[in-house]
Amino acid sequence: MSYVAAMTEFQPLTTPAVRLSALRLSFGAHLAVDDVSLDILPGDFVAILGPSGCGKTTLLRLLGGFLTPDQGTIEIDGADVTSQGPERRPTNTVFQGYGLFPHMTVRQNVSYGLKIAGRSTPAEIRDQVDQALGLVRMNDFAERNSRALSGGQQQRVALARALVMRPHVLLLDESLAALDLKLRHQMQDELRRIHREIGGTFVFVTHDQNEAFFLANKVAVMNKGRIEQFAAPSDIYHRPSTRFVATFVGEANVIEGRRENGTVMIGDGQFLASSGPDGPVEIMIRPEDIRLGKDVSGAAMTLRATLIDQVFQGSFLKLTFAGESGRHYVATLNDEPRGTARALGEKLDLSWDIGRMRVFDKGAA
Amino acid sequence: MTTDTAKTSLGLALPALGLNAFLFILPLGYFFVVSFLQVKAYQIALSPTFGNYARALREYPDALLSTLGLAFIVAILVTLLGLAYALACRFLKESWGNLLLAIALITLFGGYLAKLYAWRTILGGNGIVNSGLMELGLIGEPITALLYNDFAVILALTHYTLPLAILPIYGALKAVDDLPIAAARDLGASGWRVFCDIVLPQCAQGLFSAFALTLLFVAGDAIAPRLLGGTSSTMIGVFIQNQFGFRVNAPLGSALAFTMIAGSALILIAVAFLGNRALRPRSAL
Repeated sequence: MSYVAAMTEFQPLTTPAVRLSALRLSFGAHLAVDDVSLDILPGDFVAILGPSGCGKTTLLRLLGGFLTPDQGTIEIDGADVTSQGPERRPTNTVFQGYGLFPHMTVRQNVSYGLKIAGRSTPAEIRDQVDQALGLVRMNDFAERNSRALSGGQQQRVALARALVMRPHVLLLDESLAALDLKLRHQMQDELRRIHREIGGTFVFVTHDQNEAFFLANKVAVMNKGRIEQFAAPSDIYHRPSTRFVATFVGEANVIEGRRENGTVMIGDGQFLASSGPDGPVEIMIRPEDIRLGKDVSGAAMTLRATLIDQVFQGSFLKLTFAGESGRHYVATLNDEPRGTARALGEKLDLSWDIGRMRVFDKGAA
Repeated sequence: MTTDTAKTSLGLALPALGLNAFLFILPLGYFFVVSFLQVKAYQIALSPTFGNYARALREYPDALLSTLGLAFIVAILVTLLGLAYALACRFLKESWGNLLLAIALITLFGGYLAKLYAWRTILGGNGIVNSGLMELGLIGEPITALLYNDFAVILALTHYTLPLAILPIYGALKAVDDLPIAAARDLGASGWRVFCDIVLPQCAQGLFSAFALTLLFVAGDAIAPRLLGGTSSTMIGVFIQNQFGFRVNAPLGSALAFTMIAGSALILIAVAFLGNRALRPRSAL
């Protein structure tokens, strides 16, 4: 398995479903998409994750053909589609605001694309529309006016309208953002199920890390128009390649330090061997990687700190400590015996494996 | 709706209803009644008759029909031009669209009579068109055919009603969301299909308002034909005015007016019906 994975990672045997090469687009002085290159393989469910204004929706609109890049090319299944409009691309988009045709029924909405394509008989269109509506469980609403639907139902119809076209690449633009939490979880389950059932390449834009991790097998983290990291969710979480990724995805303790001659002084009496140029660095350690108690093995780091806050959050306990230098450390524990009580102000030993730390050169991109 | 809220909404509607009744329903009702009365010795006598309507249809069929025809032509022209203009206002880059809209609104400041006289000046024997063409040596003497005919009337009425028609169409287009348009393109629709399938059906009401506004204005106008029209085909408004004026026959004038209203209503119903049929989204089956 790992052998196959390694093979496909370094030497793709198939043409990528989507290949973005050095894409660049600016709106006036604002560089919305900055030198983005990305290969998406057939069958991938990719999440583009980033804060609002990072350019993720712009990137999706470039993919869908609603915007033309200033520079760079977009290939879909090996064909250059950079100059093609959305009506000619083998992509379909589920918009954030759904964009249903308000003057049409659900069935007319879903059959519109097939009618335009003009390749199917009315009976075939009827069958395909029924299938697509079945996939999103909206058969009972086929003859309803699209204006008379709730947000969640409109969402499903918009999804069916895109899926019925059997797009090479399905684009979803923050499609679940407008739904309430319960409905959103339900739709996330449905999206996973649909992707399992029909396969295909899905590209999903979201600012919600949980949603990205739940749905996608690959996540592209975007910041300021650039893709900071494109990797599997576990790699994004455990091996973030930049400080931005480390802090945007999940909680992180970030410790400032300085590297000199291959050693990083952390303060609070700790140092760490790390190769690289001399200069300021930042070190990340996840709260759940911090343990209580001493660890005297050579592969761990131990320091003494004062407990200054503790918060019970159901499945885990969140503890905040202050080290001797005054620096704060946050640790989360989820295997605490019930009824364990600690007094604030108590001095405790903290430790973590050196291998769980990530070091980022400060000032580097 | 509970009786309380029903009472409240009735209460809120009362001023509008009252105003409507006072300014619109009462006078119309009065002339409707008058249209069934007769004139004896320059006085309206209370003896009911259908004679006025019979006379209207017998003596003025040409004027009635040609006026309706002219009103229909102007209404179609203005609706199409208004649609084109409103589309530009709505879909051009925002600053350009707003500029176009502002220009259309500014032209509303010009009074009706001022505009009619302006056209007389432009199209007349010493007008800009004729003197310009003569200056260029394209014609030897002024073209008299520019003024005092249906062409001049249609031109002036189109010019006057266009900004009024742009407003309801623009209002309807403004309410058409960008997302369904993007979605239609995404599903493979060309610009023309998007226009026919998505944009037009959603602004049908605005188009109908513009059409109706123009049709009714032109059908009832008595001034443009007087100032710019020829003697051969006089519009019905002029006759109606005469009946109320020096002919002192308000009943016949009223009957002519209501015949005209009925004709206009028939055109509007037909247009609404056909438009609805043409723009209704077809099911795939």
